[in-house]
Amino acid sequence: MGNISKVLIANRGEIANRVIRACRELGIFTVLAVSEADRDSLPAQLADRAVCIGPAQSSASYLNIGVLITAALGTGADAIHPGYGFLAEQPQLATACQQNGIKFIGPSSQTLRDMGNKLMARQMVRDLGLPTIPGSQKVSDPQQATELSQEIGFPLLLKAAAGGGGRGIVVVNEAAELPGLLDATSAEVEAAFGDGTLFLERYIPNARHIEVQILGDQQGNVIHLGERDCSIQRRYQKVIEEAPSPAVSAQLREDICQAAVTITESIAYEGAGTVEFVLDQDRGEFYFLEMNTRIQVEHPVTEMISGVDLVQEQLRIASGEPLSLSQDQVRLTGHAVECRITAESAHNDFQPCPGRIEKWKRPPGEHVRVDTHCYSGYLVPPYYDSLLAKLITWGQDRDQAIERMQLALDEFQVSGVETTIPFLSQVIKQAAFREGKTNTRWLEKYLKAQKEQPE
Amino acid sequence: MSLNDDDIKQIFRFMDASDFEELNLKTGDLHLIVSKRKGGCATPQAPTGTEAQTPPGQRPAQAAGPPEIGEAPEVVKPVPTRAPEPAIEEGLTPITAPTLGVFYQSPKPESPPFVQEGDLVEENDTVCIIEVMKLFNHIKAGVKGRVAKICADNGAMVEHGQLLFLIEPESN
Repeated sequence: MGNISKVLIANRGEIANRVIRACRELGIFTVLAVSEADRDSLPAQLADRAVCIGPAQSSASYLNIGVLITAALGTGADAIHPGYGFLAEQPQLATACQQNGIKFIGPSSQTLRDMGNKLMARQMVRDLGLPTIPGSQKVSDPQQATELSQEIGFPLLLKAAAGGGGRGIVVVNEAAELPGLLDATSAEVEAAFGDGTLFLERYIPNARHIEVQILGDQQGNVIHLGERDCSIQRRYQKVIEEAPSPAVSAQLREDICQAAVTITESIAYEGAGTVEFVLDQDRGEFYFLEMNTRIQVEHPVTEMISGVDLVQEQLRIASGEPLSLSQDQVRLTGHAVECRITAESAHNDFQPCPGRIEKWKRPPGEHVRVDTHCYSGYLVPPYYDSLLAKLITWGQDRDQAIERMQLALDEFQVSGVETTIPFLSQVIKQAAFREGKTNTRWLEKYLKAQKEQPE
Repeated sequence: MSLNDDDIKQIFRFMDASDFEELNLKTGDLHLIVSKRKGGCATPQAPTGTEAQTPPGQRPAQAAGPPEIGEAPEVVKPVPTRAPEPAIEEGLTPITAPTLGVFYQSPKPESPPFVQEGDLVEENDTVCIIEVMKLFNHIKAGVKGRVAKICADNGAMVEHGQLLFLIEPESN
C-alpha cells in the first residue's frame, strides 16, 4: 500500500501477531525480528520472513537499534513497526530510521522526545489552557520541596520525570517523610532511568484512569475514538480495561475527548496515540496525565466498539494516506471489556511463572476476541514480560459484555503454567466492579482484603 | 546472599538444560522453587510422589500427541527463517555470526579476502567482517585449522547465529 510494501516488526508476542495480521490484510509483506528465544514463536511462523537479531536478552536483540536497522536494510523493509514497549517510544529508533531512509511507524522523534518528558508534556498542556494535576515543576532540594508540598497538600506523589509504566512513583504521606524519600527516590530513579529529576503531584484518592484514543494523519486531520477506562490496576499496571467508561457522563466525555484532540492537534501528531487523564471522582474534574505515543496494549476495546482497525490505520497513516474516516463517521456501539491474562501466580504475590504450556484452549463464541501468541506446547520464555493473552468481549451494553467475559474466562482452559484467569474471574464477579463503582486503588484494596481473609 | 534478575535467568537456563525436574532453593528469607513438572510452579508444597513422572530430560509437553480436535488451527507453514543450513560434516567446526550484520570477506572491496577455502587459519586470525551500522566487527577464527567451506555470500546480511565458515581443525 502507498509507499510501504514491506514492514519489519521490532517486537514479539501477541502484538507481533496483531501487526502481522494488519499487514496481511493490507497486502504488506512482513519481516519479524526475533531473538534466539523466539525463533520458533507463533509470530515467527506467521510472518513472511523471520530474522534472528540476537540472543534472548532484549538488551542485545529487541533493544538493539543498530541491529534492527541493519535487519530492515538487509531485508529491504521500507518501514519499522515498533509495537508497544521495547523501543516504541525511543526517539533514537525514530531518528535512526530517518537517517537510513526507513519509515518509523509512529510520530516524529521530536514528538517522542517532547511527550516522553512528562514535565515538558504537562507544561505544554498547561500552556494550552487545559487542566493538569495540581503539582510542581521539578524539585531540586528538600527546602523547596517542603514549600511546594504545603501548596499541594498531603498525601502526595513523588514522581520521576523520566518514569513510566508505573515505575518511579512514591506516595508521601506526611511532611516529615519528604526529605528522606526525596533522597532515596532520586538515587533510585537516577539508576533506573539515567535521570534523577523528580516532581510532586497531588494524590487523588478516588481517581479513575481515563484515556482517549486518537489518530492523526500526515495531512493534519485528527480524530478521537472515544475513551477507555483502565482503573482496575495493580501496582500502576492495568489489569482490566473497558470502553466506554461507566464513570463518564456524556458532557464529560465530550470535554475529555475534545481536550485530547486539542493536545494532539497542537503537536501535529502523526499516528495512533493515547492521551491519558486522571478523573477525580470526588471533584468531578479531569486532569491531563501523559500522552502515550504508540499503539496501546488495550487498543482492542476501542476497536470492538468502533469497528476501526487501529493498526491498519497506523500503517495507512505511515504510508502517507489520509485517515480512513472523519470524526463524523465515528460510531461507537455497545461496550467492550478486556482482561490481561498473564503467566503469574495470583496467590503467590503475582510471581511470574514461565514454563511450557501443556494445554491451551481459548473460549469459543460470538463477540469473544483473543489476542495471543500462545498455543499448546509453547514454552513461555523467562526473558520477557508475562502477558500471555488479552481476552476481549463485546456486548450491547456493559452488563452483557461483562457477562460474556465471565463465561469466556470460565471456558478458557490453560494448563502447564499458572495464569491469572481464576483471579480475573473472581475480580469481575465483585459487586463494586459490576456496578462500576471502583477507582484506581480498588483492586489493591480487594487484594489486601483477600489476603487478610482467606476463604 | 540475594539473587538478582540475571541470577534467576541463569537458574532458568540451567534448569532448562538439565535433567533435574525441580530446584528448591532456600537462602535467608528467599524461597525459590523452579519446577518443570506438570502444574508448573504452583503453590510451594511437598512433593507427593504420586504425580505422573516424566522421563528425565524430556519436557512433558514435548511428549504431547497430535493437536486435539477443536483446538486453534495449527500453522502449517514451516518456520521461514533463513534457508536450511547444510548439515555439518563430522569433524568440521562451525564459525557462526555473533551478531546480525552484513558479511564481508575482505577489509575493503578491492582487497583480497581474509581467507579462502583451503587456507590455513590460526585462532586469532580475522576471517571476515560483520558490519552493523558502520561498526565493523572483525570476526576471529577461534580455532586453528583449514577453511573447508565458506557458507555466506560476500555483502549479504547474515543473522545472529548463522553459519559462516566450516573449519577442519588441525591438531598441534
